[in-house]
Amino acid sequence: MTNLQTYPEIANYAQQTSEPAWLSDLRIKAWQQTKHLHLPSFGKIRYQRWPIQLEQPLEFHQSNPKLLQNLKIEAAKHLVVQFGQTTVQQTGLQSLAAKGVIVCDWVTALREHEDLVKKYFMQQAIKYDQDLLTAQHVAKLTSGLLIYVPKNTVLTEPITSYFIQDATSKQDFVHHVILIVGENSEVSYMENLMTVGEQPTTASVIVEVIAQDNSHVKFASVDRLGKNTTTYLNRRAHLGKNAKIDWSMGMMNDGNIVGDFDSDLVGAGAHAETKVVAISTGRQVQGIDTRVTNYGPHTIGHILQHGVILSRSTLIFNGIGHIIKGAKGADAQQESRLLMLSPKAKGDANPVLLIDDNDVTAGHAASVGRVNAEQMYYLMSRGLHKKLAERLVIRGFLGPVLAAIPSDWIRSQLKATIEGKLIDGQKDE
Amino acid sequence: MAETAKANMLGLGGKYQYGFKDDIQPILTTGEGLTEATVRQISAAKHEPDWMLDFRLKAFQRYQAMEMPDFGPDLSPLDLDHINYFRRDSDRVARKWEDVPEDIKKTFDRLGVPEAERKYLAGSSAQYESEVVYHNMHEQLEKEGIIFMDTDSAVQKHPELVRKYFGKLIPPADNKFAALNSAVWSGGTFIYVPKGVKVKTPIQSYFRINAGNSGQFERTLIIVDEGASVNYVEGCTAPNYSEDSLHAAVVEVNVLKDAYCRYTTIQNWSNNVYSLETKRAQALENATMEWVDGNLGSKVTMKYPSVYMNGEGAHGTMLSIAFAGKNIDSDTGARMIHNAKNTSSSIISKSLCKDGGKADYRGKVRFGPHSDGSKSHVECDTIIMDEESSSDTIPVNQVKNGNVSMEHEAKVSKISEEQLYYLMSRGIPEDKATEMIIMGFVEPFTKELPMEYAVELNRLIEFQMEGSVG
Repeated sequence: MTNLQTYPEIANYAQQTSEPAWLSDLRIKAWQQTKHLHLPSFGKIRYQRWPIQLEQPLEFHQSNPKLLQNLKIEAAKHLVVQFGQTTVQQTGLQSLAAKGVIVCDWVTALREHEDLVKKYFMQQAIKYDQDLLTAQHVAKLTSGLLIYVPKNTVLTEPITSYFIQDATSKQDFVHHVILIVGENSEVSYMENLMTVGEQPTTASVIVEVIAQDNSHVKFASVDRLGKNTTTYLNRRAHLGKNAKIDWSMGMMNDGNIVGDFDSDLVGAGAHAETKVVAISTGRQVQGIDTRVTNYGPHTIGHILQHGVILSRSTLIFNGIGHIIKGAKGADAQQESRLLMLSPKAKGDANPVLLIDDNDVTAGHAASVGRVNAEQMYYLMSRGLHKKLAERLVIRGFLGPVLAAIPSDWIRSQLKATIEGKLIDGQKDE
Repeated sequence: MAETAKANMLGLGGKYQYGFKDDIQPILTTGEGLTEATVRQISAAKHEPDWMLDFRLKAFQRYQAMEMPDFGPDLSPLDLDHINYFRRDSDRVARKWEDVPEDIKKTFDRLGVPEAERKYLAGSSAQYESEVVYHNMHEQLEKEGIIFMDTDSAVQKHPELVRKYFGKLIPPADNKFAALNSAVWSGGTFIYVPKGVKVKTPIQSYFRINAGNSGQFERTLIIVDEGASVNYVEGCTAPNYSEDSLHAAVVEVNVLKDAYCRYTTIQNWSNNVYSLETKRAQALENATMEWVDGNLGSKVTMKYPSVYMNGEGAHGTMLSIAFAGKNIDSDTGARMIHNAKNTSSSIISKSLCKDGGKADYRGKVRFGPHSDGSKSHVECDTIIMDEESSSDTIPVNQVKNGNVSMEHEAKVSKISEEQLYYLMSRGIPEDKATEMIIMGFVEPFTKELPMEYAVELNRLIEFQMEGSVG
C-alpha cells in the first residue's frame, strides 16, 4: 500500500470526491511510472513539443452551467451533458435502467458501479502504463462516463453525450469513457466534444470500448474542441468473437490534436470499420493515427480516412493495418485521401501494412490532390460559383462519415460546422 | 598484421597464385579493422591527391561519431571490427579481356561476362574485390568523348570533374554507411557522358564479393551532361561463404538538363552479405532518371535509391523487385523528392517472400514547398508465399505544397488460389503453375531488362522456386 500522505494532491482530491482507495493507489502507481515512461510515437506526427502533457494539479472544479446557454444541444432521447467536471443534464436514462443499461457520470460510476470500473478501467483495452500520456491521464483524471449494456440487449435509440471542456479557467480537461457492450447486444453511441472558453489548455480524452462476443457497436463522434486547446484523444476498442464496431469520427477541431484510434480484433471473426473525416484550418496541426490489429482468424479491419486541408494548416493521416501471425483469413484494407485547398496546406498520408501471416488479404490506397476538376466544371457549368461548387464537392468527399451519423439533428449540425470551417478557410485563399 | 601490411605496401608481400579458382592471394591488404592509419594507408596506396585524403579523413571522423540506423533490420551481428576494409588482387587495370588473370577470368566466365560483352555491351568494367581488374571500352565511345573507367583512375585522370561532383549528392554525414564508404571507398565506376551524346547500347559492370570478411566499398559517380543519355547495368552475384561480409556502396548519379539515365542493378549476393547501400540521383530541368533494381540475395539489404527532382519538369522512376528467401531480410524502397515545379515520379515495387524470408517496402515521396503541379504514382505489390514469411509496407508521403497530386496503392496477398485453380484445371502441375504465376507477377520488371539479364533473372527465380511446393 502506498502512503497517500506523500501524495497530498491525490489525497486531497480523493477526500473531496470520496473516490475509492484502489483508484488513488492506481493514480499513485501511474504517477510514479510517469518518471520512466516516454511520449508515444505516432509515425511522422511531431507533437512532442506541444503543451500536451498534463501540467495542472489534480483538482475538483465546479463549472457554471449558465455558460452553456448559447450552445446548441440536441434534445436527444437518451442524453448526457457534462461541462468540465460537472454533469449538467441527464435525460431519458430511467427507461434505459429498466433494461439493465447503466449510463452514469464518473463520480456516480465509482460510487455505484465500482466493480465494473475497477474491472475495465485501463485494464483491457488500454493499459494505464502503456506510455507517458496514458499514465498522466490516469493520474489526473477528473471526469467521465460509464455505459454498460448487458447481454442480449438491443437499443434502438442512440445514447447521446456532450462533453464540453471548460476553458474559462486554466484547468486540464481529463475525461474518460468506458463503454461495455455485452454478448449479442447492440448499441449506437453519439459523442460530441466541444470547448467553452478561450484559455490555452490541455485535453486528455480517452474512450475504451469493450465489445463482447457477437455484439455490435456503432460509435459516432463530432469533435469540435477549441482553438486554444491542445488535445490527446485516444479511442480504442477491444473486440471479442464476431463482435463488430463501426467508428465514424468527424474531426472538426480548431486546435492542435493527436488522434489515436485503435481497434484490437481479438476474437475470431471480429470486424472493425473505421471512418474518419477531418478538416484542418488556420495554422492548426491535426495528426491522426488509426490502427487496426488483426489477432484473431477471419477478422476484418477496414480504415477509410478523408481529409481536407485549408489555409496554412497541416493534416497527417497514418493508417496502420497489422496482421499478427496466426490470423488466418484476416483482411486489412485502408484508404487515406487528402484534398489540398490551399497552396500553403501541408498533408501526409502514410499507409502502413505490417503482415506476419500469409493467408490474408491486405491492401492500402492513399492519395493527395486538389478538388476534382471535372466535378468542379460540371457544377460551375450549371451556374454555381466556384466557392460554392468547391464546398459541394468537399461535402461529397466527407460523405462517408456524414452518412453514418445516427441523428439527423447532429448531422445537420455537422454539415453547418463543415460549411463554417470551409467558408472560413476559403477566405484565406 | 601491421608489419605484413607495411610489407605489402612496399610491394614485398603476397603475389598472384594461379591455378586455384576463387582462391586468390591478395597482394595488398590493410587487414581487419579500421583506424585513421588504415584510411591513410588506403589513400597512400592509391597515390591520391591531398583533397581526397582530407575527404576520407573527415568522413572517417563522421563515421566514428554517427549512430547505426534506428530503423529496419537488425544489424547487431555485423562486427565492424572484423572486416577487411581494403584489398587489392591485381596491380594493374587490364585493358583487354585476355590480360585478365586466369582464375579471376574463369570466375567471370562462369557468370557470362564476355558473352554479354560480345553481344550487347559497349564497354565492360568488372570489379573483383576492391579494384577494377578488367576494363575495356569500345573505341567508338572513346571517340565520342565518353569517359568510362574505375573511379580510382578517374581521381587521377579527371580530378576537376570528380572533385566537382564527388560526395555532393551524398555527403559523408548522410548516414553511417555513407560515411564509412567515404572513408574507405575503393573502385567503382566513373562515367561521364558529354553534352548531347546518346549511348545506344547498355554499359555494364560486374561486381563480386569473394573472400569472407572482405568489405566492398565501391564508389560510383555518373554524370550525364545536358541532353545526353546513358543506360548503365550493374550486376552482382557471389558464392556462399560462412563469415558475414559487408557491402556498403555509394552511387551518385547526376542527370543534367534534358538528359536521361537508366541505372539497372541485379543484386544476388550470397546470404551472408550485409548490403547497406546509398544510391541517389539528381535530375535537373526536364531530365529523367530511372532506377531498375532487383534484389535477390544478401542476408540483409537496406537500400532506398532516390531521385531528387531539382529542376522543373524532371522525372524520376523506380521499378524494383525483391525476392526474400530463407534467412533473407530485405528492406528496400524508393525515395522520390520533388523539389521543383511540374516534376513527376513513379514507383512500382514487387516483393516476394518465402521460406521465412522478410521482404519489406520502406519508401518515401516528398513534395517540397516549390513543387507546384507535380505528380507521383506509387504501387507496391507483395506475395507472401508461405506461413513462415512476412512483409511490411511502410510508405511515407509528405506533401508541403497544396498544388500536387499523389496516388499510392499497395496489396499484400498469398498466391492467388483462383489463378492456381485455373492453371491446374488445365493440367498444369502445381509447382509449374506457381512458377508461372510468380513469373507473371515479376514480368513488369523482367521485361525492362536487357535480354541476357532477363534470361538470367528468370533462371534465378526458377532456382529459388525449386521445392517451393509440397
